[in-house]
Amino acid sequence: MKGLILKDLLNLKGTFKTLGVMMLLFTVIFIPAGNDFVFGIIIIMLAMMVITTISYDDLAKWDTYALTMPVTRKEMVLSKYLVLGILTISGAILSLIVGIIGTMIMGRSFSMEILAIIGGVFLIALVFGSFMLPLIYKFGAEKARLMLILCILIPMGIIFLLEKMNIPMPSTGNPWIYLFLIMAFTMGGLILSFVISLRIYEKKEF
Amino acid sequence: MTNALEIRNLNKSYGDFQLKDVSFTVPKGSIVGFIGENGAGKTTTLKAILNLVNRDSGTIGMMGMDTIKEEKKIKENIGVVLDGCNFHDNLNTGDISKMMGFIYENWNPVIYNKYLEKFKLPENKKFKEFSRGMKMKLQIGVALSHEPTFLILDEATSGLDPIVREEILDVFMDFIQDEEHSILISSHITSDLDKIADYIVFIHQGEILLNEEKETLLDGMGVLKCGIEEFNKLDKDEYIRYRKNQFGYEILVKDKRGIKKKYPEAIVDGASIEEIMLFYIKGEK
Amino acid sequence: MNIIISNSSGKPIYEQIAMQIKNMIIREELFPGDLLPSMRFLAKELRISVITTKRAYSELERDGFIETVTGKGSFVANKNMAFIREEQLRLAEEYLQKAVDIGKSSDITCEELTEIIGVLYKGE
Repeated sequence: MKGLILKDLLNLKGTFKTLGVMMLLFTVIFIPAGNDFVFGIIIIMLAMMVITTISYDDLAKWDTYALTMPVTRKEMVLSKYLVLGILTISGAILSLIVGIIGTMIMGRSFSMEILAIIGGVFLIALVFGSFMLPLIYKFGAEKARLMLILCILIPMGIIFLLEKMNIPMPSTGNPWIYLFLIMAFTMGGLILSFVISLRIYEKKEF
Repeated sequence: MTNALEIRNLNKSYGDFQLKDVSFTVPKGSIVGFIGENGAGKTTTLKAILNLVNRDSGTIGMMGMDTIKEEKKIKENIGVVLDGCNFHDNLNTGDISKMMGFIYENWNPVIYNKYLEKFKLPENKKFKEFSRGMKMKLQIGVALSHEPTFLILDEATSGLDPIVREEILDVFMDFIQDEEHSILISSHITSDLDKIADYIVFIHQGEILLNEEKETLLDGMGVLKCGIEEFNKLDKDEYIRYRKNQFGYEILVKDKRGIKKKYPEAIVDGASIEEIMLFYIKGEK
Repeated sequence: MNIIISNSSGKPIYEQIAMQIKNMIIREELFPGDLLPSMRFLAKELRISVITTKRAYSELERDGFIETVTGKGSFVANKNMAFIREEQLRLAEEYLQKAVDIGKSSDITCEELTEIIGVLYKGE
């Protein structure tokens, strides 16, 4: 499986460079404006590159070839989830660095807020991934663009409904329990997503 | 264990196409040529062996192991070349070696580099700049660089010019010098198989029509050419298929020496694998 | 050593190979104890099937011209050449006897038979 992850990272080398330039631009533009939006973008963009790796695979008809090697279908699917994890974590770390540099440059103090935003977007990216991956396995990376929109609308819709139904939105009363719940939910979501993806993939014919 | 591969009663349906009771073996140390038209079932059979597709019924064993139960172990020991599959455009030969080192237990970078040299594949070029021939040679090099004992080749020489093809056939012949090694090769380029195959397995519309030693096949079969009067004199069991044109008949016979003896004046030519295939598919009984 | 095979000759390839090696042994171009090329190597160089070279070597071994030792290879047999020639003559005589029997019982003359033998020799 290390080989599969390596392959994805090698494939993304080119994309990383483009991304690096874009990130620099964003940082230069947004930090002085005091806009913390930039952290969200970095993490989400990196996480979504997992879709790019799947597109590359499809183009090369890689899966058909890879499955003739001593690689199980489980490993094929797991490697994508690990890549998602690696990308998202990298995104979070990068955001942190940008945040620290930003505050140093702007002479502000590093607030907990930035940390909270990074953490929040990190988890949201993972949840996005959890939705996207099974959909991609079922319908292909091409339709992923469409799926992306759905993935944004559905969680938003759920939150909207919850508000409408007057379920109390968690306040910052006890942030640690809240945080713990969200992390558990995200983890659970990832695991469920993996199981579904695996089931789809195992039935696939190449 | 005398068989590197054993397929027994493989059945698979795909909409309106069906593999029916496909059975054949690849004896250890031999090269089996797998022939048939497009859509006859060659690729489906190979994919079933590799568990890329499911099967309805049948058993497949390689090197004495069941291909489903001991899949990973088997795949460590086989080299596969599939037409149409490539490495990612952005990668280069060095990337592949690093990757394969993690995937195969017996990945041998020294042998890999020797093949890169032998096939003159450039080291730092991305694959999107590789020609078709180069991509094929790379796949073959990769297939041979983890010490496999069995090669499964699906159209591994198609689209290549005769010079490159000969190079590649030589590589396969080298591989088979070790009698523990075996090859299953499917190809449209039957002239390649005329040369190197030990056995020919012919599949048509999902069923195996022929499964014989190549030399016996080519030694025995012949094409009798004659007019309608002579054709009508033949017994039905003296020939396999026939084709007619405006000026005469062409008849595929099983025993060309026998026919020559019986009709010393007859024109009987040898038959190539391609001709045999054409007779079976387009000839009449 | 040269082994030349023809795809268009009437004879099966294994027979051609066996005959050429046999002749080399009889003409003393190959000596007892000489190592012959491996069946697989021969197949590769001539671009033919290993089954064919195996068959050729089997025939040579059956007729006493070579010996195969597993793990080592095939060697020209340590047999008396004159003896082998005697054997081949005897074999030829056996077959000719059959032809003569047929000839006698169907009124074919000795000259006619001899002519046929002449033609067959040339027809090679």
